[in-house]
Amino acid sequence: MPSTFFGLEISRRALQTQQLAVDITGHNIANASTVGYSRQIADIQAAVPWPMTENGHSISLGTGAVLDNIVRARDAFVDRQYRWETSQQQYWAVKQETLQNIEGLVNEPSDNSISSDLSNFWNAWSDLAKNPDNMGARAVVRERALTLTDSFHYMAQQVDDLQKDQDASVRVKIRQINDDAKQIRELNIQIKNAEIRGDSPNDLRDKRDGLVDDLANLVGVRVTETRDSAFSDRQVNNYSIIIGNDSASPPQVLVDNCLVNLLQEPEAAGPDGKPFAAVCWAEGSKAGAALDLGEKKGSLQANIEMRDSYLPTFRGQFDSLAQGIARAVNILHNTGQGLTVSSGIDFFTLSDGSSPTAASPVTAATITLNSLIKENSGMIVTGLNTDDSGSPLTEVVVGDGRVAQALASLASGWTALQEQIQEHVFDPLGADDLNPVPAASFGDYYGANIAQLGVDGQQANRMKEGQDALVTQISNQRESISGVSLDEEMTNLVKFQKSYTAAARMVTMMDDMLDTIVNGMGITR
Amino acid sequence: MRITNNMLSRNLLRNLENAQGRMDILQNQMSSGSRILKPSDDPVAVQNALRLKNSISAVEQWKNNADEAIQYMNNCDGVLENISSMLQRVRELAVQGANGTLSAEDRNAVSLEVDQLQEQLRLAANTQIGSKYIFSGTQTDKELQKWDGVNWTWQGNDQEIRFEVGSNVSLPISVNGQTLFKTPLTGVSGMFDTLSSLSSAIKTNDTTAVEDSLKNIDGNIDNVIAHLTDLGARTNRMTMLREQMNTMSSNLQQNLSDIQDADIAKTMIDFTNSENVYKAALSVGAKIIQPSLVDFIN
Repeated sequence: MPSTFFGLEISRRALQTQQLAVDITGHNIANASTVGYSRQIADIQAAVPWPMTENGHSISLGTGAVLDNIVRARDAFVDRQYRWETSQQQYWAVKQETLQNIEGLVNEPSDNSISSDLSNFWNAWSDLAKNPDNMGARAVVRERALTLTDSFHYMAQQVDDLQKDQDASVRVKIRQINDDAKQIRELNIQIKNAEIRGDSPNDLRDKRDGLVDDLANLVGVRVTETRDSAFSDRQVNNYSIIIGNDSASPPQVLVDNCLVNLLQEPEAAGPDGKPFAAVCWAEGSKAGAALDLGEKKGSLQANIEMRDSYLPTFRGQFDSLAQGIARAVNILHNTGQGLTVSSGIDFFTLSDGSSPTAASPVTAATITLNSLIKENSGMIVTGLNTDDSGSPLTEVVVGDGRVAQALASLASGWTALQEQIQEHVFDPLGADDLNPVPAASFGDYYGANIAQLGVDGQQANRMKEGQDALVTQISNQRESISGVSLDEEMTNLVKFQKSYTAAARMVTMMDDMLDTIVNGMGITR
Repeated sequence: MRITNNMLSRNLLRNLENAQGRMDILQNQMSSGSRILKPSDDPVAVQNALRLKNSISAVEQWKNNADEAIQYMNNCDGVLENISSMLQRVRELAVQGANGTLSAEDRNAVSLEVDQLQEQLRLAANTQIGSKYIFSGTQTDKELQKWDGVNWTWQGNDQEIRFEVGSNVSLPISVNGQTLFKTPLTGVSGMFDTLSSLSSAIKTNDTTAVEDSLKNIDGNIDNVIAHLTDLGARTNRMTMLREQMNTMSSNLQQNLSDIQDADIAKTMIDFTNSENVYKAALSVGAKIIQPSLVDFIN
């Protein structure tokens, strides 16, 4: 037989347990909108029964309820999916953002872009061809040329700035990864200590999961949590994080329990010779080696790709365009004379005024109108500098607009011009091959580049949209498991409150019973 | 599936954002009138639009060139007509001069008029349109006939002035002053030489020389008419080209508009739809966000 006061003990346990359950519910309600919070569940178990012997056999008598544990509602599999998808989402988000910046930069289709600057430039030549002696038409050609070179300079400058922005992002993100890694290590220590004591530190785990989520925005992460075999009687885990390409060998371990391998950002010459931050391991078995980022994961990788390959390629297209225009215009411009007899001068030069050559061609950043022309638009070449028999002119023929006309016709391609060069109508010295860019005309070359940019932008938009949908779905799934539902908490609150009231009632009843025993039993009148 | 309050509000927010995003896109399309605002909206269409814009710009330029060319050629035409009628008058005078019955005074008067006409023709040969001497070939800054104090000298060259009126199409718009005045048809002497010899032949009453001049005058008249015909033919061709370019330009504009312009009616309807969705989302949101069990438990 249990003690007389056994019932009181059950009630006490009940009161205590329900009170704790109410506290846990309160904690949930308080954190209903905390980011990364996982709802906690009071794991109430029946207490160990008390075996008593009755009628010659053993009977387990229930001893009430105890709070066995506080459990965190969390699904590690959904976490992994979530991180996998956010890594990709963030990769495409950065791509999308940068491509949108570039799209804003080229400002196509509009009447205020390099495309329209080019059209205006060719049209100015066509106008000049009609009136080669007209100073107004000459000034227009000069101004259009200046506008065109300014646009090229602006474009080169802006692409440079974008590249620098990307580099700054890379540096910030490396520091962020290091910070996260250090914090995760601290949490690993605290969590492990708690686990060794038999505790389950739910809120610390939430915090660690939140940090890993942050990390997943920057790089691909893979979390491994295994049981520590040194502790056989309780659940103590080893927690490690691999970043980047998860099949790299040796594995790229960022955090392993209480160890952390940090990254560094040594300045190194990028693919186009600019001093950009490289991403290397600073510590651990891979110290000094570059971080292998794997496939399209995390915003860091998108920044690096944009900085090291996309933007240089993009600027390269404008360099080729500038180079092609300068080359073709110069070849023709050199065959003629303006308002004074000359043996032909370059229309476009490098920024230091020197002639572009095959070894040092102009780029979008350096294409410059010849300073002689800038000062005196009479130097703009309109007519040929040889007569029909091919001997040099001694006197200017001001009404000859053939060179200007040839330049204007570059607008629609150079096939016909090529023939004229081969027939020696134009006799460029040392260069009889125009073909400035691999396309039918400058406009086509430019258009193809813009279309390519559009295709890339469209791909980034679509991928981002798809990833958004996936992340939303998984977030909802995660929220469904871990999120706090106020309705549920209120229901639980009522449940626990009623249990508490009932347990209190039980105490009162026990009191009555004891009263009967103490004050009523064995008294005779 | 377990639904939480956070989930509800987050989904609501996302849907509101989506609806607003759609409205933003449609609003931009409506206010700009353009379906494509950046390359990624439709890369292929953007490339086509760029190509069409380049073509339109080139065609507009050629149209301008053609207009200017037609104007120029009409002016030349007027000058040639004028020259032709002056030569007709010279011919009448030559016929009068060939008549041996004229008195010496009359012959002098006729010869004087021929001299005057010659002066007039020299002025015509030095006609300027704008600042250009139209009969001097590409040496447009030089007059065709220049008085060096002793003699009249010839200047200019026989190069054509060509205007670009198409992709690799350029048409000559000038009249060759050399073949018009200096070296007409074979066997015919130049206009001014003919007039000089006519004038002196009339003065000296040399009827055979006058007869010879008459032949040369006829040759010169034929020559001017030949130039006029040639110019007229070229003017016609230029006018036709301009008409073609007008059509081409409006076709290209139409194509560009098909590619890049927003369908206003459709955009409007789409916008109204997204507006309704947005409003519905808002009103539903106002209803679901508020109540929970908290509101019903005392």
